[in-house]
Amino acid sequence: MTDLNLNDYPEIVLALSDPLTVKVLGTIGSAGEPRLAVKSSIRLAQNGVLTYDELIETSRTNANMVRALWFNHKVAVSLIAPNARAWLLSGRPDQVLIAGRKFQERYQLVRQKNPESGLAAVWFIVIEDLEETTLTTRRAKEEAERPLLIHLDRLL
Amino acid sequence: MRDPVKDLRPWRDAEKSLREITREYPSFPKLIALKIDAQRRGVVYTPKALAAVDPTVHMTTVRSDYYDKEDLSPVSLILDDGTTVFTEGVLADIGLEPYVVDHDGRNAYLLDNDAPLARVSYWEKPAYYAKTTAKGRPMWQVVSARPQRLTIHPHQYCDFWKKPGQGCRFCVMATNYKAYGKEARLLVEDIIETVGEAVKEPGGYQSVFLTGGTILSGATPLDDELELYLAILKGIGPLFGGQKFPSQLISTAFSLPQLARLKAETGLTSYTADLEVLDAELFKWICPGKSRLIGYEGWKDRLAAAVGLFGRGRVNTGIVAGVELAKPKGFKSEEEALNATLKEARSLAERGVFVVSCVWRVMTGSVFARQRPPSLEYYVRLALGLDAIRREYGFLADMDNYRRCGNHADTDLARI
Ligand code: SF4
Repeated sequence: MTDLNLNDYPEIVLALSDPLTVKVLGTIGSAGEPRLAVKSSIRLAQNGVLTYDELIETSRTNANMVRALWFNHKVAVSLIAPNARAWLLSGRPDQVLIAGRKFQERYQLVRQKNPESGLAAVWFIVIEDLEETTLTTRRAKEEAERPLLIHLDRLL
Repeated sequence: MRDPVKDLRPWRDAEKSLREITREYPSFPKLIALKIDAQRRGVVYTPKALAAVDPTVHMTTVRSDYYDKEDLSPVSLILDDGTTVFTEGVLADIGLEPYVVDHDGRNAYLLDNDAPLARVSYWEKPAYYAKTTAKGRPMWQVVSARPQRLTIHPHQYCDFWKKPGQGCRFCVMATNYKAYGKEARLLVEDIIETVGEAVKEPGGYQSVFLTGGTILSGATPLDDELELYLAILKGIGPLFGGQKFPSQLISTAFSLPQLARLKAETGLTSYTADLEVLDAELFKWICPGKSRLIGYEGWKDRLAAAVGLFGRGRVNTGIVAGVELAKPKGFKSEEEALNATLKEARSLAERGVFVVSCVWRVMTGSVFARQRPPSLEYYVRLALGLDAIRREYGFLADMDNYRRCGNHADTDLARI
């Protein structure tokens, strides 16, 4: 699978930078159980990969991310922009920062925003696949490519 | 597993490779197996890897009770999952080929047989490393840093080495002390000042850790060792408003009254006294000074007493995993050593004490310098076994997790 550079997708870059975009991270637990977590800190790193701040060391999502990195599992990120455009991205955790200058810079930013908060880790996810999931786009595509799947009353 | 006594084949033929181990133990993370193996075999740096070191960013100097260095190689490495790989210390040349750290201009990698296995980063240098104490001592010489832990070695010699044949056979503290001509004790004022400076770094550290060589003197044995740690911990306490703070002390096993003072008078939150090897007879042979002073059963009793004060999950004991196979008195096979060690770890767990393992890095200057550590498979099975016992008995690994010591493959597994 080729790694995608999200800088090549200006609409996604725009959506990621919009604070009103809903960003959800999907991971899988040890017994295959799915887990979704809203991660508003998901953003674009300079090299075109995704990054986010993990605030809770003991969160199930954090453990699932470690598991995904260790055993090469995939994770998914769903983005829904305020204009209703949406994407589903999938990829693999590539690195986690738990110390060092970049970690400490992020730690300070997180604490400036919320002095009650700590920072456990900064994750990086390399995206391998993406799909636009905007409802209007998906509907138009289905109607064009699979015309037999429509209810008849909609054709009256 | 390998029988180290009978199997005299070259080590690569005699042992399963990292690739074979990760295939055979699919539930064991490859990065943790790599960490173990890199610690066991050591690492060397290519000229390109060394050229990529920026001494203004990377940690290149360290002064500890067992290792000192000031050259421009990295002190140690960190993997992409945040796992620490210790490369500190001078490994004895025992014929295990080291891993190679190379750099491609953007990233550093760990290589074996020319094949890149994982990206690595060099440990970064804390801001306080550039500062000096009021007495003019460079702070990096007073408190060393691991990626998320402040490490204090206030006594850099060990009284067991003062009598021939009493020091632990894997230990290099005395050799290191003599080689570097250091003072035996650091100044408590320097330590308190340095910790005060270091903890100002936002997000820099999650714990304060103290350990050092045994001090036998005092009104009762070890009282002077206790007083040294009390002075430091009491000096640090006000930095945290006098409350308990994430901290760990590894000392010679203190008596109950000594432990009670630590608990009552300081902010210490967890306690460790290292048994080093989980077998009474081998303890006598490998750690003669400890054995004569306190004894194997006495050491265990003191650990159990510490549980009564600090609580379950706040007391552990470290082992130098692999010394139980040292020749000629060690176990004769890895299978036998593993079974005995895990059985004893379970009996300690019954008493509220959990066991953490370090890879036996066979050091130049130790009595055991001509020995060879067990196979990678041994360490993988030991880490799995210790992790399973910890889970079964419900211990959290927080006091010694991946971002504190970073030297225990078994507590690395507690992340998931
Ligand atoms: S007690 Fe043993 S391991 Fe610890 S410093 Fe002394 S000789 Fe070394």
